[in-house]
Amino acid sequence: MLLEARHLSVQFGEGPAAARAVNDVSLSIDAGEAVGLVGESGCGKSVTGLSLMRLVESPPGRITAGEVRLGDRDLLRASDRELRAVRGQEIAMVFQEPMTSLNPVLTIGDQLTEAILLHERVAPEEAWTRSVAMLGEVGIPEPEDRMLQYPHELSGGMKQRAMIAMGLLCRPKLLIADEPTTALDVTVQAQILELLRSLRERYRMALLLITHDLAVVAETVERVYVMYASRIAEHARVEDLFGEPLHPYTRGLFACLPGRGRPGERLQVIPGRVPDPGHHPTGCRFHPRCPLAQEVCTRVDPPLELKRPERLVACHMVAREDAPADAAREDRAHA
Amino acid sequence: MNRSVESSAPTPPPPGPRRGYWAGVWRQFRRNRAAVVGLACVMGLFAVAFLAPLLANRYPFVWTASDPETGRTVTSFPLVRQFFAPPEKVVPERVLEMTYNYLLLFLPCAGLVWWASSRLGAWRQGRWLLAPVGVLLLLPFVLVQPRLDPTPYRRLAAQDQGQGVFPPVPYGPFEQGFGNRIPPTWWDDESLEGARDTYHLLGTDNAGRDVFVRVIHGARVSLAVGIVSVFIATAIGILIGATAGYFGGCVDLLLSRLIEIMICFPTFFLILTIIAVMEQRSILNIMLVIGVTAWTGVARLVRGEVLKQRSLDYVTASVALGARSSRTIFRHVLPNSLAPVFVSMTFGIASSILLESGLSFLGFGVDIPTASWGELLNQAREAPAVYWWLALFPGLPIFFTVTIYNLVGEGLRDAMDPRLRMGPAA
Repeated sequence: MLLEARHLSVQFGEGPAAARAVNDVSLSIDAGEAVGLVGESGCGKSVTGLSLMRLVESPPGRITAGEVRLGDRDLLRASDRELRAVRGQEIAMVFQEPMTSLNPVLTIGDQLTEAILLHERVAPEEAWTRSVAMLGEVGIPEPEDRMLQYPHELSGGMKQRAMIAMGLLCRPKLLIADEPTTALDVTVQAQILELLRSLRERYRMALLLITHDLAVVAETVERVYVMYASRIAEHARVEDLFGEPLHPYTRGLFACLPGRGRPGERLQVIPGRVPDPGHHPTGCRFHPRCPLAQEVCTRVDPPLELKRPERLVACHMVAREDAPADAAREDRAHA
Repeated sequence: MNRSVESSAPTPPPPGPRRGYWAGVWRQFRRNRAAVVGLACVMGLFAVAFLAPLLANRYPFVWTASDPETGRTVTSFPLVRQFFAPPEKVVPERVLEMTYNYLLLFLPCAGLVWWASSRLGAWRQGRWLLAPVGVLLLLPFVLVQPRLDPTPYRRLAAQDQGQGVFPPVPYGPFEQGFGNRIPPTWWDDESLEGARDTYHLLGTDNAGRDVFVRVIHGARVSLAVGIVSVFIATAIGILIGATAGYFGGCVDLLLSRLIEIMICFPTFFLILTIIAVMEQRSILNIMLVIGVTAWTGVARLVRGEVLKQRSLDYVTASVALGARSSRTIFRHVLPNSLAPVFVSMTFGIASSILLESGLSFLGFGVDIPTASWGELLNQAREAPAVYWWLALFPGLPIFFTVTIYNLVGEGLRDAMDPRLRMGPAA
């Protein structure tokens, strides 16, 4: 286990009006593993990513409960000094907007070398050569020239590559990528994902990919956490999830994907809208939009339980199957 | 690449000049003619201030006279000693004079080093030359001792007892004895015809000193007060504004209230009170007092700008890389927040110059006998209609300086406002 977050809760603001952006979220990442965190806008997935490194802007944000274990340390209770050593060196982060995630007044070279010089006592010349090499490795042509350029002189894809290079310079054990491809067009998206995949193999680095795009998840990660309204709704291996989504929300998401229905048919939607993080419904957060909702769903918040081998689902309506995998397959064949 | 491909392929457009933020601002600034004229005038004003001892001085650059005992011709350079060791008695004023004189020597040398090394394409190496050059130029200011030189060079020259090359205006800023309150020589006033054997372009003041010389030397005081006090105010403002904006919460609450309390004080009366309490009136105190009372505007500006920048991803990215807060603030947040501060600085310089003139006018300004525009204006107070040259000629440069700084400030403000930018976006 490389990193484990337990019962993480984050809220913005105080008192009854506080927006509870993350509620009792637990997730774990093994060394070298690629994990996805999926959910729609405002479900708390970005805040979860930020709070793993205690980057939630405070005030107004506050991590109210939980712990984040990296090795034998709890990052939420580490001193600022320990935390600075972890940030960038053991865990690095890539952000959604390449346009705003590089400082516009510094050259690419300044920013890349800074990433090294913050953590290692090396000569600036060495930091420079390593940065050039890393830029080349993330597929930026003429890296020496790029080092002298300012962010506005690079394209969006180039900037995102530079951001990734910046994250990787200190060989972190975990890269948190928060919607790294959302702001890019489709062909560049594919290139960046391919780049992340190959770099992960080369450096044996774990990846936490935060995204709303199921297609991106399918191509890139091994395990998926599905988040809905500040909680984890479902957790499964990626092939299990795509084979048989269990939570009604996940099922709804897959039903929405274009290409599943016949041509000319209307795309499916999940009725209703995402609840506001200040006013989550009582009981199961998804019940107002859920086709399977029963009376119990309006009262009791379903716990995240083991419903299949290696699968956690938070839903009253999904039955537990303790039977071994063979038996389950048999059952399905009889039916 | 082989030759035929090279010749047939369309030549790629040459890489354009690096179009940074400031290049865009400068391009936009140049379109504003009033601002460009203002900037040129500011530079001209600085030239006058820097060159003041060479433009108006009672000492000749070179003096040749025959020694009465040996009969041999002796050549001396009386102005040089005065240049390196100014005759001011008050310490801060003396330091100010020496700073101006030092910069007058250093800036051209630095420019030369920069020009030569960038011509050779080695600016990165060449800039290390600046330190030895700077130290070398500092030496004469330390080594030359001030000495009062009462030799009446001008009269000796008039009596043919020596030859000298004099500055364009051959009177010193503290030189007295031309007759009190003589109107400008070109002003036709026959009643005083006999009393005058020297030419005074702008007349003389209450103590019989040449007004033109004092206006030229007064430019040094005004510009220095304007710039130094604004730098003090900006430094305080940036520190407090950035702290409030970056840390937010309780810190922001406290600092914002402090700013509001400071704004509520009527600044001019606060300054008068502080100066009245101070024992020694000197230019340094004026600068300090204006500086520590004028920072509130900058602080609010920086706070707002930092609040805006803090929410951008590159700031979080810098923290995520493991940078400490001070580094994030000074290296990432502040450089992106300072553009509006430059605008406010130009306006601030104008208002500090006005403030200094006002203080000197009321007699709370620089110490006697330092030349200052406001102090000259003060001398006209008794009867401004009679001693009109004492009111008009110091008044005009105050008006002129404040106007050109405001023109430059407005030009800068418009050039930095992206909504007003015309043409291709920078």
